[in-house]
This record gives sequence, C-alpha cells and structure tokens, in this order.
Amino acid sequence: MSVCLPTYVVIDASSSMKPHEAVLNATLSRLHYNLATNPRVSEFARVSVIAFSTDVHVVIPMSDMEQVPALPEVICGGGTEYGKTFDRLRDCIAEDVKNLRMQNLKVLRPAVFFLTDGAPTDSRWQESFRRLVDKDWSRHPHVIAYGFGGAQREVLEKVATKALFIADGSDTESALSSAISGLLNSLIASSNTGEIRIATEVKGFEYVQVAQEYID
Amino acid sequence: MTEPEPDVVRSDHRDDRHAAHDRDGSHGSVGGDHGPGGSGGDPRGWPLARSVSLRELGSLAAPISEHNGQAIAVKPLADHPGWLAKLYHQGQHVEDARRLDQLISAPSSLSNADREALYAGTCWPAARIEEPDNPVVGCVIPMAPEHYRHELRRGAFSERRFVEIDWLAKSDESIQRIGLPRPGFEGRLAACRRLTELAAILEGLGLVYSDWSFSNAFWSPDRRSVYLIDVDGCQPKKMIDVHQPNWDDRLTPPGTDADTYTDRYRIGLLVAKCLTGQRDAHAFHTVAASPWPNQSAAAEVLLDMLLATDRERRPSAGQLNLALNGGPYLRTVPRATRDELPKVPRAIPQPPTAPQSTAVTVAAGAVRRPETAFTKQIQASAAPKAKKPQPATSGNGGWALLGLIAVILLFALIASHH
Repeated sequence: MSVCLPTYVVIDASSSMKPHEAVLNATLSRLHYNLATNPRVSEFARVSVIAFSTDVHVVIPMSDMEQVPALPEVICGGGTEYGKTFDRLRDCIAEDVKNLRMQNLKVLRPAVFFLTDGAPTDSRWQESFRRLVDKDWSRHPHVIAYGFGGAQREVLEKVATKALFIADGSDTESALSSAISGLLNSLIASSNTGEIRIATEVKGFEYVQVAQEYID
Repeated sequence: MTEPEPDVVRSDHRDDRHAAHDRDGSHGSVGGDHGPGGSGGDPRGWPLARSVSLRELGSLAAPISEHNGQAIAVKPLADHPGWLAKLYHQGQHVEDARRLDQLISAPSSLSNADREALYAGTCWPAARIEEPDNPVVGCVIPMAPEHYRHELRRGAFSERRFVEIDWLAKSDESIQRIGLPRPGFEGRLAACRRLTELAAILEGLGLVYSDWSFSNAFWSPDRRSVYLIDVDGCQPKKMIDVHQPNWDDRLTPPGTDADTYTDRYRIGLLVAKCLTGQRDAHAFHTVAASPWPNQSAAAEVLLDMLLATDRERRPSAGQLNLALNGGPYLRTVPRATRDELPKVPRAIPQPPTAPQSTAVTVAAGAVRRPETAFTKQIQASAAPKAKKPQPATSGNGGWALLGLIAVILLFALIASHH
C-alpha cells in the first residue's frame, strides 16, 4: 500500500497580487513542471491548487501532477477572504482524503501550504480556521504559511500550525518564487522519507518555528 | 602496504547467473592484485592510487550536490575530468575505511565480463580519500555518463537532467509526454536485464545495497541501459535498512538490518514496476497475468521474490536475470508459499473539487483555463450528468403510439362508412 501526502497549495489571488500575476503564473507553472517531471514526488504528494480572493477557486483538484498537462492561468483581483478559503479547504480535505483512501493509499495528515501577501478582509475567518484545524477532526491538516508583501505576521502566526516563513523585505516576486521553491523542496524531502519534512532554509524568508499546533 | 583480508566473498548463488556473464571463465581472487595504497591500474583510467589525500586530488570544483544521503557534498575534480570527490559526513570509522577498500578492490575478483558490466553500469568507487586524522573523508567516483542525461520537457519548461529509472515505472504515454522515446516492452526488458545483471553481480560479491529504489539508478532510453549510483554504501552481508517510502519489505521489520533477501524483494519490486510501467498493486497483477511469452519463467520468479511468505525462499537476482533472458526458473521444491496479491486500487472517483467549467472570464480572482484534453475532461466530468431523455419512439412506447394511431385510423375509417 502506497503512502501519499494530500497537499494543498493555497495561493492568494487578490487584487494586491495583480501586479505580480505574470510571475505568479510562471511560478505555478514551474511548480507544475518540477512535480510533473519527478514521478516519485508527484506519486507521493498528491496536489491540489486553490486560488482565493473574494471567492475560492479550485484551480486543480487533488491530482498526481504528472497526469496534469498544464495549470490554468490565475487572474488576480478581489479581496482576501480567509474564512471562505478555510471552509472550502475543509470540504476539499474531507472529500479528497476519502477518495485517496478508496484508492488503497495510506494517507498522511494533509499539508496546506498557504501563500499570502495580504491581511484577511473578512472579520470572522478565525471561526472557519478553528474548524479546519480542530484536533477533534481526524483529518485536520498541517498548515505551513508563507507571508510576503502586506501579509501580517501576527495573523500568520495564528494560521501556521507547522511552520511559518516571513519574507525579510525582498520584493513580492522574488518572495513568491522562493516560497514555491521552499514548498517544492519540502515535498521532495517528504517524498524521500515518507513523512512531512519542511525545508526550513528558504531564500529571502525568516523561518519561524512553530512550537506547537494552534490552540485557541 | 599490506592488503587487508576482504570480507567480500562470492555467494553460492553465483551459478544462477546467466552464462553470458562468464564469457572468459575467470573468477579471479577476491581483493585483486592491488592494495588500497597501490597504483590502481583502474581500467576506467583513474590515474592515482586507491587511497589518496585531498591534496593529491588537487582543486575541487563547486559541488554538484550537497547534503544528500551520506554525503555532505559531491564535487568534480578539476584536475581529473570525469571524476568526482564524494565527501562524507564526519564520523566514519576505520572499519568504514576497510570496507571501502574492499569495495574498491572487489571488481578484480570478477570475470572480465562482470567487471566490465560493473564499471560500465555503476559509479563504482575508484579511491578512498583520507586525511591523517580521518581515514574516510570520502571516495572518488566516476561521473555518470552523459548519455544518461536527457532534455525533459513539459509545458513551456525544459531542462537537461539525469533520467531516473523512476520514469520506466510510468506508461509509455507518460514517458513520451516529457519528450523521451517510448521504451515499449523491449526497451523495458533491456533495462531490466541490465539492472538484474548488476544486482546479480553485487549479490555474487556478497554485498547488500538496500537502497534499491527509483532514485538510485539512471536510465538511458536511447541505449536501453541503466546506471546505478550510491554503490559506495554497499556493505557485506547486511546493513542498516535504508528506508524509502513505498519500498518497505514487510518481511524486514523496521529496526532490523537489510540483507540479501531484502535486496531481492526490492529488486523484484523495481523490475515489476519497470517492466509493467505501473507503480501500484496493478504491477503485481500484471506480473501474475504473465504476459511475456518469451520470458515465460520471469513472472514466476518475480512472484516468488515479491510474495514468498518465507523471505529466504526469494529467488536470487541471478535467477531473475536468467529468466528475463528467456532462461528457465529452477525452483526448489516444495514451492514457496505466497501471500495473496495486493488489492488493486479502485478507480479514481470523480474529483469533487473539479474546476468550475465557466471560470474563464478575466474577473476578479478568476481562473483562466487552457484548452487542453485534461481540462476538457475535468469540465466534462464536473458537469452534472442529466438523465438521458428516452427517444419518444424507442422501445414499447413506440409500438403503443403506433397502435394508438392505427386504432384512430380504424375508427375514422368506420365513421366514414356510416
């Protein structure tokens, strides 16, 4: 029975990302290339790409990225609705884990890589987040957060349950590229060991160790 | 310098190997003619002794790999093109130096054909690197030949990389999709023959590799050959089980050493996956269906390697190599009992989070989809399946309608006669 890590790449596609849209899409394409040309990694890390702004869009449902010919293009705009995103994530995880288990896969705790350049524009997001990471829910995911641009450290400190990366002031496009590289390195390291491993050296980011999982 | 007594011995399974490996009939003496400090006489052209200092190696180029497994860095030797210094983490012991020396000299005990195959198909170490305070700084290994690199294309990206044997465990369609030639069964078979040939040589030397997996061998689709890396980690008889996800041998429990029987399971698994192009339990079922008429014994050998309930009844790599070359399987009796085939995964269900088929506008936070077969398929599958309306004239309904019309016509005819 094969082991797999359900992986969610959750990217901020709000209006603040609009100037960086081309880089965002190129970076996602690079992520796709690297996963699609490493069957060992794409077999282990089943990936879903989710873009959020005012609404939440599942760009790619949970897939072996080797089977995905290309990623759709993300067009940025709108607000930064964390709450809807966490609600949708919870629904996706519930369904995806069930489906992966039906394929006789040993499913590890899901990993959410949360990339954002802004603060939430909704006020009640914490309730949704609590539901997502509720330890009484057996499928609660690890959350690894990458913050850059206008992202708020104190907010992301609440969101990250496994690791937090805060950009050290480098421009958004470099930060975005580095964050995706860090994410990719984490997936490669995890596929080598069969358990989640976080690449903590990410160029242009400060690694903030998360002492314990989020407790309200 | 006195040559240490090597532990590396040839196993009894040597005779299982395909006769082609014994072309010159010579078996040589274990350990060879050259001590670790002596002149190598390495047929691959390594010009220095079998134990060298860093100073003797000259300048080292920038690392091509860092912090990978047992190595802190792998650096090209600027003064010796084609050779690499693999530098280990600190903490190696004198025993490691002895083991490495034995590995370096082991090929001299092989027949010419096997030695040639080993040198051509592995990055077999040529020298141990030592310093006065550290007997095992690292080792010198050859660079993998350039023909194991290939341009891997996908979408707008392309990169020249070593092709891991991982790819052979994918379908021909997947392989073609990244710009590699389709191997077909013949290409797969040729690579698996090379792989098992190398495995049989290692087993014949009494060495355990343990790390048989997708990441430790390169594949050349053009030459249909394979190249094994990290062989400097081989140990005589047993070694720490190198854990790789999805390569666990259930009969080598966690915490116990890997031995030749563990290797046999993993070689069987690797060959089953590469021959079938399947990565999950489907590979076992395809093997069990025995679809290879010209290698009729291969399926039986593989099934015993993979499913024998007694790990010591797993056939050798040499037996598998013989079967892949069309030879027989001389199985001991009574037959080894086997576990059942693993369950085949169920078909992937409908993705519940399929992309919205209408999100193609340049609206806030929208997703613009390229028109590809994949997205079309996703969109098609995401669309609700409306119940297909029955054609009005199909089946019994059609006959009833016809009957009704006939009755009406009959009444009309009778009425017109009154």
